[in-house]
Amino acid sequence: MDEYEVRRFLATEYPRLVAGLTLVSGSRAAAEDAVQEALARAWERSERGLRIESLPAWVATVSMNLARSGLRRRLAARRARARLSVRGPDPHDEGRGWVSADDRVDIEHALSRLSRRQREAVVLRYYLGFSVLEIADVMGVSEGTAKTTLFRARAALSRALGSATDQERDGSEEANDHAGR
Amino acid sequence: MPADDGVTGPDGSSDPAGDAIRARLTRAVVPADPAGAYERVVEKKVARRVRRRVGTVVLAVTVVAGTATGSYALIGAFRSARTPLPPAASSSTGFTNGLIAFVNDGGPPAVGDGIYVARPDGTGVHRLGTGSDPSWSADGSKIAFRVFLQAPGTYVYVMNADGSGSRLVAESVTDAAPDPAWLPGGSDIVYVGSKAVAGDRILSVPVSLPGVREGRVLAATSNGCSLGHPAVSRTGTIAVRVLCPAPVQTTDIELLDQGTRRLVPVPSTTGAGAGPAWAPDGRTLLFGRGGAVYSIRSDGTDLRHLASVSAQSLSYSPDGTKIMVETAGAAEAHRVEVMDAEGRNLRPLPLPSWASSPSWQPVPIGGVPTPSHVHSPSPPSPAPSPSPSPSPSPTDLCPTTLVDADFDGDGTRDTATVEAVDCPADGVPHWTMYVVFGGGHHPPISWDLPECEGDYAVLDCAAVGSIPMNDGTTSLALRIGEGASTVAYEMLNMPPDVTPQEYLVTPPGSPEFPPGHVAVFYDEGSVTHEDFFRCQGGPYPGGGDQATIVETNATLNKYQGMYTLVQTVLAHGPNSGQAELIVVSRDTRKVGFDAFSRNPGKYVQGAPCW
Repeated sequence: MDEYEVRRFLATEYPRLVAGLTLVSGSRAAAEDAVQEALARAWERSERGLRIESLPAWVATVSMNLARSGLRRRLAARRARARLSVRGPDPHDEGRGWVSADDRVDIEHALSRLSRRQREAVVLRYYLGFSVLEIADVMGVSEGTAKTTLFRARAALSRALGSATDQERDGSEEANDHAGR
Repeated sequence: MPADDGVTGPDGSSDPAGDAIRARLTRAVVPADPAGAYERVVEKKVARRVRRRVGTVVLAVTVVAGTATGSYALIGAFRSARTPLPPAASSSTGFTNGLIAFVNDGGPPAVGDGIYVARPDGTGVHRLGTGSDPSWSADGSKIAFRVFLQAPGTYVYVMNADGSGSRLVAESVTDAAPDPAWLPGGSDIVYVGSKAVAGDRILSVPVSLPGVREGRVLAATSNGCSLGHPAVSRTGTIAVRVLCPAPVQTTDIELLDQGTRRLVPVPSTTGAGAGPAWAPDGRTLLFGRGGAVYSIRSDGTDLRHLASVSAQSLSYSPDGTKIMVETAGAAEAHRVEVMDAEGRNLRPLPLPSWASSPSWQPVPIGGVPTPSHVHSPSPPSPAPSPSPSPSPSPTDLCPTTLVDADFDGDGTRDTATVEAVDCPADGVPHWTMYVVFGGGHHPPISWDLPECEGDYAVLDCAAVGSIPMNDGTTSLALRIGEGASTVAYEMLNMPPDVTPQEYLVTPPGSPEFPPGHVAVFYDEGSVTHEDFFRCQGGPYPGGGDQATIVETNATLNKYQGMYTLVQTVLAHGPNSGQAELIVVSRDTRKVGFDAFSRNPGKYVQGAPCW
């Protein structure tokens, strides 16, 4: 892993990964900080001779872990503000990274009704395009658990967004089947 | 439904609900701009390297001599020079070997960062909480550790041996690790701090007075030299590594004479890259240099080659029979090993592969009581899984600060305490404040601090000092938050028979600002203002000029818009050539008290300093 690979990751994977983590954590500053920290760790590990099979999955996993702590989020916001205070007039995280206020409120509200694990599963699948197997790896759970989590999250999210359909109910039943095995 | 996905529809071909969610998520959030991200990744990588103290950067060490009571043990350390080197591996140290605390830094992501402990046989691994660089107190009942922040620095915390009761002890304004270490008796901690201009310093702070504070300066460098890894002997002698960058990079181990505050090099330690660590006898030092571990008397005599191993950190076991070494191998791989005190029989300790920065718990033999679970490190009972089991509950990091001052004007000391009552990992702490009046003229008072829990409260609330006002009263300065370019303070008057009068002090930029002018504030280009409250450059000779500006009609920018300015007070230092400006504003959420309309002419008296 070298500067070229880091810059390539920043140009290709970083923008959506940060956005996805923003959806999970609710803070763009915390998401940026977590992904940058994870990438720094990946870089450091590669220099120590440790191999990383999939950089996007590894960084997603580590940044998810990093953003999981409320304390870290608060400290990240603090560091972000410190940086931005010398850079420009838009240091506040509020609303940053979101496209429209309506969508943001709806999604924030809907995501807030999910468990942390469900939020992560939804974002990994529907925003970052991870497969169920990859989601299981990132979340450190079995594929079946990931699938169940995803089903339930999807059903809850659809209900919260006012678009529940028979399919979600079907899916939810299937998820229950999975959980019961 | 395909088994490999689980998100397509039941017919395996479409998933309208999933598509709808995908579309809503995509509409809701924009991808991040990677501009500047590379530089910050590099910053973080460098910071991690500094924190792990990996690589070939060699710090020089200064040895500070002193005891908790302020007497100096340096002479004693030198006096021992002519006596035969006692076996460091004495079994009569009065301590047995307890748990080993270590840090996960760079380990597998499934294992949370933080401080862990394990028995020396590798069993009982469990996480104590957030932090790094653990350092056991002499009686093994507490651990000092650090929590790293990029700005303004690093915080030194203390927790109990079981990970409970974490509390803030000191702030180390430094880019490097403060490496906290305990003075004998367990009442004080020494650590390394620095100012960008002034260089590194060794400070001590009493653990009994928690709060965000800087400790008493024991020694400071003024020539650009860096200090690292202070080590305290059981007789109170302090040793540190020192790196002096110019004109030729040199490192060595030095002793600090606390009386003269001078650093005294230990001969024959030039090039030291690891350590120092004190032997239980208090006269012998360990250090690493160039792929080898050495012992040496504190006067520089009796240099002995103990082992050929590249060490990152070194320490004796509490019973003095072993030396614990964090070795640096190829590609910066590191592991924790142990060898006999004479340097023989180097073998790995059965700790997790990701363990670093180890510290061995001393357990007094029939001595100071410590938590029962600490006294039973071995042999263990039903052996827990040797695999790490990160605690799901984070360490309690509830910060507490206090300020002593005569708030009620009765000539006795009062104490105001600001503390977070509970610190949920995923939430905002609940903050309270209480004041105990020393003279007995007033009962204690307390109230909640909702202003510490708002959106702007990204800094921990803290009682940062007291400010004498021009009307003879003393106000408490309460730091409540941090905006884009300002640190927000409340000034609280606390006569107990009056509802606390609240001011907000937001010191903006420091432009040349003649008295009588209308304040103008900019959305950007401001400066760091907290320094003013720390009296950097002050107090002003002759007391400075004071001038009150009536009604600024200024509004802070939208990121500071929770405050409306009602008054500014100008302190113009005649010798500084630059005005300092304090803006006193009113929190619009707390209507009902306008300090200056009710108390015209009230302002900060002189340069606030704490």
